[in-house]
Amino acid sequence: MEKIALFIIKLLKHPIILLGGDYRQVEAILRTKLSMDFRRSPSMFHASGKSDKTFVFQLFILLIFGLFIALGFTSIQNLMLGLTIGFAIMMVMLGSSVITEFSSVLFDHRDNQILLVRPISNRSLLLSRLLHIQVYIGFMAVALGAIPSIMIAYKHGVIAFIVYWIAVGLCAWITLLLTSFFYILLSKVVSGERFKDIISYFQIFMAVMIFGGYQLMPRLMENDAIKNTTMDIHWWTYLIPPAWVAGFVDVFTTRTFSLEIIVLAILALVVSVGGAIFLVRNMSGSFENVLSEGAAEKVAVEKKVESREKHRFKIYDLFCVSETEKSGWKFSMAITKRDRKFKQAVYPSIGMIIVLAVVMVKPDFSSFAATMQKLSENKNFFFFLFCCFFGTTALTQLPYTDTPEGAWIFRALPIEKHGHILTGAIKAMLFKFLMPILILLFIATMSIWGLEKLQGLIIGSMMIILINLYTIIFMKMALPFTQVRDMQQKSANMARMFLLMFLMGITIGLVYLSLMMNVWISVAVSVVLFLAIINAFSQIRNKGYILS
Amino acid sequence: MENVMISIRGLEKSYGGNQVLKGIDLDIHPGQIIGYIGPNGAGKSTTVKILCGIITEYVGEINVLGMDLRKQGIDIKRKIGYVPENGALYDLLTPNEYLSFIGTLYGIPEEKLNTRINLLLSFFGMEKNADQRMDTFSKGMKQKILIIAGILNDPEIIFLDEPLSGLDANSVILVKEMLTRLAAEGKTIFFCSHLMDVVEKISDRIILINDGKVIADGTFEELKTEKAETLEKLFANLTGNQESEFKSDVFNKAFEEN
Repeated sequence: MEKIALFIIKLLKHPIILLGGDYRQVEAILRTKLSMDFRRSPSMFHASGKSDKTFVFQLFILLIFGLFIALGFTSIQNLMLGLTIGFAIMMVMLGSSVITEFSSVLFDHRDNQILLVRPISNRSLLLSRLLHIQVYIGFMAVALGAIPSIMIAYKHGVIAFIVYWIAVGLCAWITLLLTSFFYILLSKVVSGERFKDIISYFQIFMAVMIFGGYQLMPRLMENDAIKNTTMDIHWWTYLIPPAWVAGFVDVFTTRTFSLEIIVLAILALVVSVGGAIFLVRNMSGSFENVLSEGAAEKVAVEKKVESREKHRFKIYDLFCVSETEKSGWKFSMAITKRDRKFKQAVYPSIGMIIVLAVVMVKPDFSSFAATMQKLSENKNFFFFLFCCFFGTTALTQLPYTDTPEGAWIFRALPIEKHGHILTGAIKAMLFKFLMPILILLFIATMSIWGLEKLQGLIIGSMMIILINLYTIIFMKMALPFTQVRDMQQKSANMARMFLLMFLMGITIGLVYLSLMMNVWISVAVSVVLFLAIINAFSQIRNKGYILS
Repeated sequence: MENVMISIRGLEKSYGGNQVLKGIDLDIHPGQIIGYIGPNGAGKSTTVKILCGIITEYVGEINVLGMDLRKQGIDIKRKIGYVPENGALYDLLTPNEYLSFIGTLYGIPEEKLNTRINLLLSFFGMEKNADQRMDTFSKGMKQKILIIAGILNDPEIIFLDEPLSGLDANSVILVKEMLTRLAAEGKTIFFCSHLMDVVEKISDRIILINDGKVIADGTFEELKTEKAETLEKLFANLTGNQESEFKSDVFNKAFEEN
C-alpha cells in the first residue's frame, strides 16, 4: 500500500513543484511518515514488521458500503441525481473521516522539533500533510467507489467507468481541500487552545450530524418520488460540491452537453486545481502560525492547592470493593474529565442517542400530544434500550491515551492486583456515562408506558452491563490509559462494536420474553443477572486485563 | 562590533498573559561556546526555540548570520543545527533512515549524505546500530542520533538544549571535545545545560538568565567572585537563595506519621 502511494506521489511531481513545494522534501516527508504509519505496532513485542491489516479491514467495510451507493444508482433513474447523492455520501464519509481521524495529522505539532527547525517552506510542509491525509482518504474513496464503478461500467460503458474514477479522485481531493480550508480559516479567527476546543466541539457536532444523515438517507432512497424524478438545477445547485463532480461524470456519460451540467463539470475542475493553488500558496503562512502556536508549551499557572479535606463518604465507596479499585475509579474519572481526545470519541455517541431516539419515535412535529399518543400505543419500547448501547462507548475508549509512557506506574508500583484498577475504571465509566442515560430512560419509559415495564428495563439494563463486561473478558482490555491511539485501535473497536450489536439483539429478545413472564420469574432472572455481573467483575479483576 | 553571528534586541515572549522573556539583548560572535544557563522555567528553551524557528511569534528583532529571522527564516535554517532537549525524533525509524530523511530535507546530495552519516555514526560508535529501530534505543543512544542530526548539515551555528542528558561518561567527553573542536573551526555553539561543572569548563562565555532577563554575562573568570568560586555557587547566589535552601522542617513533616 505504501508503495502504491509513493508511486502516485511520483506522478504528482510537477503539480507539487507548480504549487511551490520542494518535491524532494515533500517526497521524503511522505515516505518517512507512511513507513512509520505501517510500522507502528500495538505493543513492544511486535517490534519487527507489521501488517496493515486493520486499515484493510476498514477498507473492506467501506467496500460493502459502496454496495449501498451502487444500489442507490439502480433505484434512481436519473443518472445525475443518483451520482449527486452517491458523491454526497462519499464526501460526507470522507469528510467526517478527515475531521475525526486525520485533522490531527494536519495540525500535528508533535514533530515540530524535528521538522520546523529544518529549511522546509510552509508550502512544502502543508503539501506534505495534505498528501499524507490524501493517501488515506484516497484509498477509502477507492474502496467506496469500487462497486459503483462496476455498476456504471455495466450501465454506461468504459468511458463512463474511467471518468467515474477520475471523479472519485476529484471528490476525495475536493473534500480534503474544503475541510482543510475551513480548518485553516478557523485557525485565523481563533487561536491556540480555543481553536482546539472549537475543533473538538465541531467534530462532535459533525459526528452527530453524520449519524443522523445515515439514518435519514435510506428513508430518502425509498421515497418513490425520488426514484423517477430528474434533477432540476437551481442557482444553489452550483454551491453543492457533490453536484460538481456528478456533473463532471454526467457530461462524459450522457453527453447531453447542457450548459448547466457543463458549468458544474468545469466547477469540479476549477475548484480542485484553483482550490489547491489558493490553499497552498496563500494560506500556508497562517498554517505555520497554528503549528508554532501549538508548540507553545503552557506555562504552569500557579494555583493554590486546596487543603485536603477529611475523608467523607464518596460514591465510589458504594461500588468499589478495594482501595486499588477506588484508585482506578478516581484515576479514570480525573482523566476522562480532561482528555480532549477521549471526549471527542465519547461525546458524539451521546449526541447519537438523541438522534436515534428521535428517529425511533418518528415524531409528528405538528402535534406533541399525537406523538405521545402514538408512542404509548406502540409496544416496542424496549428498542429504546438500543440507546444505552452508545452509553458504553466510554468503555471502548478507556485503554487509550496520548501519553502511554505514563503506564510504567502500573508496573513499577507495588500493586498486587492490576485487575482492580481496570474494574474500578470500568465501574467509573458505567457510572459516569451509562447511569445517566439509564435514569433518563427509566423516567421516560415509565411515564409513557407505565410502571409495569420496569421489570423489562431492569433486566435489559443489567444485560447491557453484562454483555459489555463479557466482551471485555473475551477480548481482554489493557489497563486504563496505557495504549497509544492509532490505526490499530479503530479496527479493534469496530470488531467490538459488531459483537456488541449482535449481543444487543439477543438482549432485546430477552427483555421481550421477560415481559411475558411472571413478575417473580423476572425477579429471579434479575437476581441471577446481578450475580452474573458480580462474577464478571471478579473475572475481569483476575484475568480479563492485559498488562502491557 | 562586526562579525556578529546572532544579534538579539529586545526579545520578549509571553504565553497567554504570562511573560516568559522580558527583554533580552545579546550579541554572539563566531567561534565561541556559549553556555546559556538559568533556573527551571527561566526561558532558556523558549529562547532557543525562537532562534531555531519553532516559535514564530515574538516581540523584538533577531538577526542570525546577518539575516532577519522573520524574513529569511528558511535561509537561516539551512545554516543552523538544533539538538532538542526532549529527545524528539521518529523512533520507529532506524538511524540510517532517520538521518538520511533529515539530510534530504537539507537537500544534501545523496552520496555525500551517506558518507557523512556513516562517518558520524562511527564517530559516536553507533555503526552497529545503524539499521536497528530506535524505539529500542536507550536515552543516550537516541541522544547521539539527535546530536548527529543537529550537525548533519555542517551548520555555522549549533543550538543544543541539554545535549549531555542521558549520555554516559565516555560520550560526554566525546561531545565536549566535539564542541570544542567545532568552535575552534569557527562555528558558534549555543548550549543550554544544568550541568554547572560542564558549563564552567567548556564555555567561552556564560549567559545566566533568570525570570526572563539576563542577569549575568561574561567568561567564568569575569563572573566568579570571592564568595562564589564555582559556577554552582554563583548560580545559587544570583538566582535566589530561598529555593536552594534546604527546608528541613517541611521535608521532615512530609514523612511524619499522622
